Amino acid sequence: MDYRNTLTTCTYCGCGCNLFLESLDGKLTHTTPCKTSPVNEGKLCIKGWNVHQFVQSEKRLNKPLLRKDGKLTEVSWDEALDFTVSKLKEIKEANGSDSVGFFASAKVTNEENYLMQKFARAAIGTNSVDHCARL
Amino acid sequence: MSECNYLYGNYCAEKRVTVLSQMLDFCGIEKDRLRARWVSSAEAPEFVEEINEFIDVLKPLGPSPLKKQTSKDVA
Amino acid sequence: MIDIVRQKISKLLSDGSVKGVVALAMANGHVAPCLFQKEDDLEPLCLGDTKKPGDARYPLNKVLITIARQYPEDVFGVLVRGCDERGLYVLYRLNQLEPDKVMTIGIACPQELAKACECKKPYPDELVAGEKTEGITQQGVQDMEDMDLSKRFSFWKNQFSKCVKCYGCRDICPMCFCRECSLECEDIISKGELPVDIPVFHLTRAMHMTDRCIDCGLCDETCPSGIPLRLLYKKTSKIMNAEFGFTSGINKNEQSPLNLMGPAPEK
Repeated sequence: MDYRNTLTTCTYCGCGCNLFLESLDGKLTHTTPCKTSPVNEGKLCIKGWNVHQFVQSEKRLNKPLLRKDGKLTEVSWDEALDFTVSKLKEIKEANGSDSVGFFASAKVTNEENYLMQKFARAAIGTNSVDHCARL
Repeated sequence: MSECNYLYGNYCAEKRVTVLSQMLDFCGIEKDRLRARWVSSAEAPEFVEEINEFIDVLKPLGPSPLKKQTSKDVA
Repeated sequence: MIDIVRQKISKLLSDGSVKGVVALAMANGHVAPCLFQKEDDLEPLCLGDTKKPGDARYPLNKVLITIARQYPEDVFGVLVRGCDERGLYVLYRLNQLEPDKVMTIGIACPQELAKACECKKPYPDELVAGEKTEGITQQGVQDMEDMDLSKRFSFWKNQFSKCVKCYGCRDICPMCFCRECSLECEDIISKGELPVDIPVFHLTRAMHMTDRCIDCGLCDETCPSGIPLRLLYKKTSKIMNAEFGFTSGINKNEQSPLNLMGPAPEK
């Protein structure tokens, strides 16, 4: 029997609400807002309350998919990344940096999103960065 | 009262209506807007009479201030 | 007080009468619900008081339901205040927990907390630690009733329209355990629309709380819009008491008048 409440920060937006992810025997069961957090003081929004759901959603992709002969096929990370790098380089050389756009995710941490835009600006050289939660 | 298809269902319903009407009042909504009567499906005249009576109560109260504007109203 | 609680938990764990104890623990500077399983592991135990008494309470009954559903054969201990114990009685009535699978470790709330909660019974029946303090007479509902109809209307309309539909009141509520929820039924509540349907959303919940609400106040504390939900549910309890002589969670073997056949009992 392994019951835990793991203190973490909501990944959905930049507010940084603190919450506990409740898990029983390795499965997430519930989200509880942290009352002692100075940020959200025991409150959450609808997204925060359901943050445990996407983690173990059946629809979540666990492995990279690559379209081969018009069909999405599971491939290794190495193959997927190599393919992405070669294509990105190809596009950049043929059409310039601004022909590449970056789309960040609301379901990763702020730090990861920071890295993404840094990569876009420093490595590729474009300002075309957007985010799915930019409402 | 004891003729409900769901045995004692309308007894339970009646109690809930008692609570709900007081809750409406507590929230500042006229409790006359809610009414529960027991009319069998075989009692058409009683049903008509009930509804007409209810309309007479509702008309002076006017439309609810909480009524949502439908797209038709807006257009 | 905490030492007595720690001793009690330690005793329950060491003599094997419980498999684990659901209580609160202090970790990383934050209070969190915790399942204690070893008697020599009780150092982080806390009672949910940080800056004020009881300002970090969590729905421990809800945690207990989660664990008990997975381990129905085992007996668990749980740290309870007056409200939590009322909650347990209601959960026994609604067949969510079995009384002989639960052992309580009851603590009394200090006067300050009882006052802030307007709690009628700020102590559990089975008290382990703390001093019983007087119940507080509830004034809030009366004050609201004394206002006239149009004032009440504008007050609640104003409050309800602040709702952001986070469903936090339901998610934190120790009495909300249903797998399917009326608040997610699209015939009653429109999905993804704001402002919320007034008063349907809040009154639907209030109606579900009539014979359940144990007045713990966690909904009030978790509402990001500061809607006085507790006041609303206090009113339902008051109606239940006046009409049917029923107060949820006061008797261990209670039955809800809403589910009993026959007319309301004589007052």
